[in-house]
Amino acid sequence: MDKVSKAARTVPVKVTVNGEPWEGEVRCEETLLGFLRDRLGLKGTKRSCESQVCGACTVLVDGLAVSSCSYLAWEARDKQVQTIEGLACGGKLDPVQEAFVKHSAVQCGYCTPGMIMMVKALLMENPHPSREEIRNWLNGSICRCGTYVAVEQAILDVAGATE
Amino acid sequence: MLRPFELVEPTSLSETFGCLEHHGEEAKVYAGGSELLVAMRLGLLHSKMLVNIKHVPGMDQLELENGSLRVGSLVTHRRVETSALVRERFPLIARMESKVANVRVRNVGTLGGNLAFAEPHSDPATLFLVYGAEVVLQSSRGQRRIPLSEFFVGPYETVMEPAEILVEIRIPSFPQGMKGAYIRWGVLERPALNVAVGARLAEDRLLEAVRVAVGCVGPIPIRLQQLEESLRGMELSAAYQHIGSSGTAVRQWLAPVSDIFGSDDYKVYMVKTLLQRALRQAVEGDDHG
Ligand SMILES: Cc1cc2nc3c(=O)[nH]c(=O)nc-3n(C[C@@H](O)[C@@H](O)[C@H](O)COP(=O)(O)OP(=O)(O)OC[C@H]3O[C@@H](n4cnc5c(N)ncnc54)[C@H](O)[C@@H]3O)c2cc1C
Ligand code: FES
Ligand code: FES
Repeated sequence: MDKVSKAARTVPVKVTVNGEPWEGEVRCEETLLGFLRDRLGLKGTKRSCESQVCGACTVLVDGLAVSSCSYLAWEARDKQVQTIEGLACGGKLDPVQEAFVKHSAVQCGYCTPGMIMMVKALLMENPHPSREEIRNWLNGSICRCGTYVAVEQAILDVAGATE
Repeated sequence: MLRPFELVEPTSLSETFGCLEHHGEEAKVYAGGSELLVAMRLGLLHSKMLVNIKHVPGMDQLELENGSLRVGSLVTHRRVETSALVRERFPLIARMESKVANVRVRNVGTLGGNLAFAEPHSDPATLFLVYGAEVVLQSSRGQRRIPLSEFFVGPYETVMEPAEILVEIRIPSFPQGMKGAYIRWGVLERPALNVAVGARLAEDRLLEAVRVAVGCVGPIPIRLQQLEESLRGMELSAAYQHIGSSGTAVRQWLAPVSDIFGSDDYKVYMVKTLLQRALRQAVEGDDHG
């Protein structure tokens, strides 16, 4: 799509969200988080710190994990956005979701959608992460309920680790 | 909530300069937005217009030229961290990058944005200082190259003129035989303290060349040239001792203040400790890049 060559308050955007195309205008200051929650009604993506510290708002843009709270919606123009709602397929949970259920890697669940999207990004890049790689990757994904150990177990499980 | 602003997306440098000159103070360069959007949301900064420079060609190179690493200002932390070239030739830089913020910030945050913002708690700034890095700045009046050690003026302040932008960072390899170390310390996202050391031992195990940089403590990251001078020619054990007893000088050079990262006394103590550790890591380790 064309770049904005004259100063503008809105930007024309074509974007694919969880496989569904969307086309329209977004305000320059509209965040991807606001766009997903308030326009598309995709409330799985959570708002928390709004400063890239906690990870609750994590979504994938062309496979890259980003903090949607601090990512302007027009930046996703011509790209593929994936949110927690896009993981389950035909009523069947994604293997990462299954592993979170199996290991009770959820307490209140507020951090979970972002945590799971972070894990998706990790496994795409590194299908068999070590414990240390998992910890480094999730530095910046905060769980106030302290599910970290269960999350780590779930990841090791889904990645086929033998321990 | 972010207050409304306008967006422009230049596709050339001349268009960028034209736009920045025309709009003056009202316009802000926007790269990854990781600093800018947080500052705007907190109301620390308001901009009527963002100038997205990510479509301007010629600022995304990551390559080796005559032994120097050329990093275009739009290159992200994550790209530096995962680059095969950087991992092979400048492993210390790749490792430093792997500790910056978190993966999401590294996916969008650029090296140009990091240095241009001159936030005192920068990882790359401190490490790049011991390499003797330079920054390339450009405006409609032309290009200039200046040492990174002369780039920072104060917190959030650099020598960049209005309507001038940072286009590239040039990082020379260490001289033959020099090895380096970088240590960041802290419990929050950004480092509370960081130090970088480059050192070369002569055959008689005396320190032949030493470079020392400290960040986060003073208003800007700096090379401690006086300390470098006095360490030169010392035996290692004498060097550790010298660093250990340089508290008064460190306090004078860095002018530490007490803040959420620690008290001034704590910072002076930790700078000494981390410098000793970094020197040991440098000479005992294997980081030639
Ligand atoms: C949660 C969090 C944790 C962080 N942790 C760390 C950390 O551990 N270590 C660390 O070093 N940093 C850290 N940062 C800072 C991180 O934002 C920067 O490292 C990042 O690289 C900034 O780049 P950007 O492209 O996002 O900059 P932007 O936000 O786009 O811009 C920052 C500033 O620089 C200006 N600017 C940008 N590019 C240019 C250019 N080419 N020429 C002139 N001016 C320019 C902009 O006008 C703006 O004033 C952290 C940030 C966050 C939000
Ligand atoms: S809400 Fe986006 S990182 Fe916390
Ligand atoms: S499960 Fe409650 S915040 Fe993570």
